[in-house]
Amino acid sequence: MKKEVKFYSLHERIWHWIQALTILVLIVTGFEVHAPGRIHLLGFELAVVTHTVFAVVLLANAAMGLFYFLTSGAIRQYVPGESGFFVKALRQAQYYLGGIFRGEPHPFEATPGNRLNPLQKVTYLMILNVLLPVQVVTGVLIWGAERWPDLVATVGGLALLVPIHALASWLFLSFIVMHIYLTTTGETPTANLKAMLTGFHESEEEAK
Amino acid sequence: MRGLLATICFLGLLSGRAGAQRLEHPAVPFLDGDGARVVDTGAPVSTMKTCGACHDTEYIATHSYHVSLGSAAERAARFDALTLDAGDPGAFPDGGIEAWIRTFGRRHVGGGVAQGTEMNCFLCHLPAPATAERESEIARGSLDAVPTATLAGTGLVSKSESGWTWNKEAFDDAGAPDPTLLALGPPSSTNCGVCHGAVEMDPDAALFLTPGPRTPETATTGAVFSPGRIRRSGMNVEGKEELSRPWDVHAARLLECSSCHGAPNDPADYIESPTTRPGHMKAEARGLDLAEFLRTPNHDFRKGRVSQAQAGQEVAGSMRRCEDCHDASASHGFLPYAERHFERLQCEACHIPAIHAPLLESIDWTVLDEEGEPRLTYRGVEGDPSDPRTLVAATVPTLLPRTDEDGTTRLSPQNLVSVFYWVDGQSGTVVPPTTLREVLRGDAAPQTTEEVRRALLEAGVGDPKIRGAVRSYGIHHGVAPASWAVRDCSACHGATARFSEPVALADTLPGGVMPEFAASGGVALAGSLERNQAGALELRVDPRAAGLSPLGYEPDRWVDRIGLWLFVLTLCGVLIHGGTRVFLHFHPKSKGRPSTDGVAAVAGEVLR
Repeated sequence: MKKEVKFYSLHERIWHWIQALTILVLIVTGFEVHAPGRIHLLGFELAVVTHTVFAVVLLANAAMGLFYFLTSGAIRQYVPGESGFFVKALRQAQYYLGGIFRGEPHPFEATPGNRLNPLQKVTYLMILNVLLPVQVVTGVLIWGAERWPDLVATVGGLALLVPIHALASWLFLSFIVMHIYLTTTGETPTANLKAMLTGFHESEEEAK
Repeated sequence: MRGLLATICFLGLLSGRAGAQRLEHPAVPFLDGDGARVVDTGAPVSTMKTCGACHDTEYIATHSYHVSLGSAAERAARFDALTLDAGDPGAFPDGGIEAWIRTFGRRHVGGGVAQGTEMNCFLCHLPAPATAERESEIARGSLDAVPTATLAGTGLVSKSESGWTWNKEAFDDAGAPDPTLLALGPPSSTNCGVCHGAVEMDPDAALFLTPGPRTPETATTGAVFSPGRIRRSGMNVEGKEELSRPWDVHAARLLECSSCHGAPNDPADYIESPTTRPGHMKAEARGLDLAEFLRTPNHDFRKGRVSQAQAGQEVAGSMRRCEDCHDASASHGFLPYAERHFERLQCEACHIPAIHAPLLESIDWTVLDEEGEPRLTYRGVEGDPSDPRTLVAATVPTLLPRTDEDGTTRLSPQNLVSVFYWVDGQSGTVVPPTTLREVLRGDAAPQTTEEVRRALLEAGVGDPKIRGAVRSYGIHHGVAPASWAVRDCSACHGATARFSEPVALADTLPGGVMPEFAASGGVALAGSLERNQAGALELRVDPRAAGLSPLGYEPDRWVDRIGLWLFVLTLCGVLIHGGTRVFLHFHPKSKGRPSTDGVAAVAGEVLR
């Protein structure tokens, strides 16, 4: 018998979906700003304004999320370092490459207190500590090129910042594709999605 | 006397500034070169003696880059593609200085190297100088008669077979002409237009342009200084019914050329050049009084620094700039990154959105037409530009980086003109048009490049070679009203930005010679000269070559290629992985089983 277990608090779910929405809008408007000749959705001017506004939303949401994860202790879930981490990560990779096709059980059982498998931890570590900061810093500098021209010139100018920002956007887009796909690898294809919508996850272990 | 002069001058200045009717210049006895009254001697008038009675004509003549045209220093950098008057300091080809004056003196104000003629004050200070008569005397070599000929039409002098005769009834007992006939005054824009380009100050005139060497500024940059609406033009301008804007908003606002290009020591309009002003000084409080100014008006007029004008380089960049009159920050609230745009774009880049006049594209001096003129092609024009029926399409100026005196590099509107001409391969000098006309005209004129080369060899040109150059001409006139300025971000930000289209430079390359960019005026060629599939010469502009990266414009970005590959690989991985799962899930042997068990069973069989 399976039992529904609370996995995500309301705060986490709101944070996640705001983050998802803003990243989606930022990617779409970012591409329009990046290549306005190829993408015509809002028009260049409105795309720039929308991109800036949603960047502020993303930043604010990220800051609130960081505050929440720090104060609630949930930040520990994102920190790899438990014993045998490398072996566990290898086992998770083997599962995705083979075990999943053979119907083998997940090598890592998610619990409310430890929701991320080793590969997820590595991925989120890179996303939150490398990709997102790079994107935020380059984005802020591009936005502030008019206000702090000397600073921007010191770090290479727009000629360097814009390509880095664009490349990071492509990485984000690739991550989102992967992220959405991996949500289908739960007990059922929609189990993880339901969990992020309702907050509850079905757990065999809890039912025992 | 000094006070009276000051009063008169003050009134004169006021009249000139307001663009209103001119106040009367005091009666001045006309003197010849010996200082005698011309009505007594019948000799040509001497401007140095006549005007020099009150004005320091020697000072004026030695402080005028118009006079110093042809000097060794000026000629060293000279290359006039329209007339092929090329630099050769101190050595004027084909007949020396006299032939040079006869050929090019139309645009020389007199004095300086133009020995035998004086600085022709009348050319600029008469409301309607007789340019045809003046040019006729220049072409004839009667240089001492040039100022007198310029007075034709005033009623003071008439032309007879024996020469110019003074109309004594028009002079008073002191030998001074009737001031109302002479009507001397400050130079108007029309005076400047005589040599520089199309000027039409009548707003109702049906302006018609005949582009060519007589209006060089118009031919090379499309400058038309006129308050008239383009839609009232006599030309067949494309979409003219919609073009309700004036040719030049500054002309429509009653400015004159001298408003920006005035005398640098004019006390009422004094701006010290940033190149000479100490950094801590915002303004120079000292200045001449009006009388002193009128006695010694400095004729090294304030000027910009453009690639097409090499004269007066010592005062280049001294003129009024847009920001001297306009506060851009007060009117560009709509513009995101306003300061950054100001740093990267000259005002003209947006405020001269298009040129609606025929604009030179190429000049081919390697062959001449029946009239001995080079082959000219114009942008936006298919057919004879002097034919009123010929459609004149708008040309969007090319934006190229230009480095100003203060070291700032900004995109500025330019017109690029390719020019091909013959040079003496031994001396490196340009084969002058007089030689070309002797060799390339007539029924037996050589046709092919090799035939021309042989003919030039026979004419004494050593090792004739074709040389090609792409020259940039800064576009700073023809400013549109603000409502017509470029506001569409995609004009610069986007794949369809104005940089993305190649700039046509020449249909063909005479002799197959690939021209080189002639850098001058601080303009850099951001891009590459290439031949397209049809063999035509084009410029592929790349603002990144100048360190400028307009958002949205990077047609060949490596980042996107890497990113796209990354995205496609991710997508492929997901599709293959997910597709395999789906395939295994719906495999017949898994039907009716729980999903994971079914997948496992089928996977086991498949993988076994």
